[in-house]
Amino acid sequence: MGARIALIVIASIYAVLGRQQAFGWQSDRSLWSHAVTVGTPTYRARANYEKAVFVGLP
Amino acid sequence: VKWALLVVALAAYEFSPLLNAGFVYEDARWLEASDGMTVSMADLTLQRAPRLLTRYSFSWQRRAGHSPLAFHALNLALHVIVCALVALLVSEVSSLAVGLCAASLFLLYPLNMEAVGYVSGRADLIAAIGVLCACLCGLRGQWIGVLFGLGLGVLGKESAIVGLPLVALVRAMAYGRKSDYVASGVLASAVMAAAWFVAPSEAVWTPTWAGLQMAAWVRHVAQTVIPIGSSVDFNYRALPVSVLAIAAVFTAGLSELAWRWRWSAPLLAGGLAWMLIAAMPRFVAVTPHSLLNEHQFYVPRIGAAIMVAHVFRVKPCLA
Repeated sequence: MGARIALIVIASIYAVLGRQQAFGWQSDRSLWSHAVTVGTPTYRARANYEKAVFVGLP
Repeated sequence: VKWALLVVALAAYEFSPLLNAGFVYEDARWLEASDGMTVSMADLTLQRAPRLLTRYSFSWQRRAGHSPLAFHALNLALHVIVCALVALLVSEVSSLAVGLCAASLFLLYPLNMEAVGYVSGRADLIAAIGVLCACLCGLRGQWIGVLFGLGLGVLGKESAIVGLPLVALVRAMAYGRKSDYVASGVLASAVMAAAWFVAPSEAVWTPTWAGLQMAAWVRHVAQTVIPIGSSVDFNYRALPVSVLAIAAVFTAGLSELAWRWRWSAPLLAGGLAWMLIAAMPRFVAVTPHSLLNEHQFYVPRIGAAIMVAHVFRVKPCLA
């Protein structure tokens, strides 16, 4: 019984965290996920690199 | 049945944001590179056409005028197939109930979202299908099937070549034979050598590069246990050399533990070894724009699903 409850709790936590990850992919501001490093020099460098190299799809 | 319904409901909740998701990061580059693609026998080489199957699927969907939703739906369908294969693999070395639990957790695992929600991550999904098919066939001694699985995986993404040592590894876990462990080690070394000599490196290899990749590997293993603080742009290059050295020692330590536990806890050791072997070629193949990230860790993370079987203390049933 304890194992079942633990599984349900873990699966539910995974679903909530995964949904946050999914939202990260559809938001321009969170293009690189909802990460703690957003705003760091590396993030800005990557964002500029992407703007320079890749163009949006028609 | 109740568990299956719960998993389906949680999966629907988790993946529903993809309904409105678009294309991000390298999607534009891969999709445009696949436009108007035709397949001929001459293309069936890695040098001429890397990720042929993945690109052909993009080309087909673009020609058919599919929306981003259809691209994401196909990725999700591939992820479900991977989970079914994970269930079969874990069932082979444990029990059906444990296999279904491991596959359910792998389906919902939050850091797998990058491979599923990122259309270019399809390459990793196809690679995983190929590797798992090869492992399942390898367990039954169906060597033609092993070749087919590896071929399928490599046509999805070249990194699926790690399936070679992984086939030997799952045989070692299931049958407990020393020769399979030796074969796994030899084949893993061969794949490392291939990555060193054949893989197109973007820069000169340095020990620092290996340290950065090992730091990334350690971070991904830690996040496999506690999946929080995720970032596809973690600033590894800001880490001091001492931390990279510690990461290298930690990686070596976990390898040693996997070797020591191979008889007493084969599933725990095997899962750990899987995560290491599946990522090892990236320690030597230099791709400076892309340190080991979450979608690249999709295949290695299958090792964690195998470790779930150890948590339930179920002995390999084929031994």
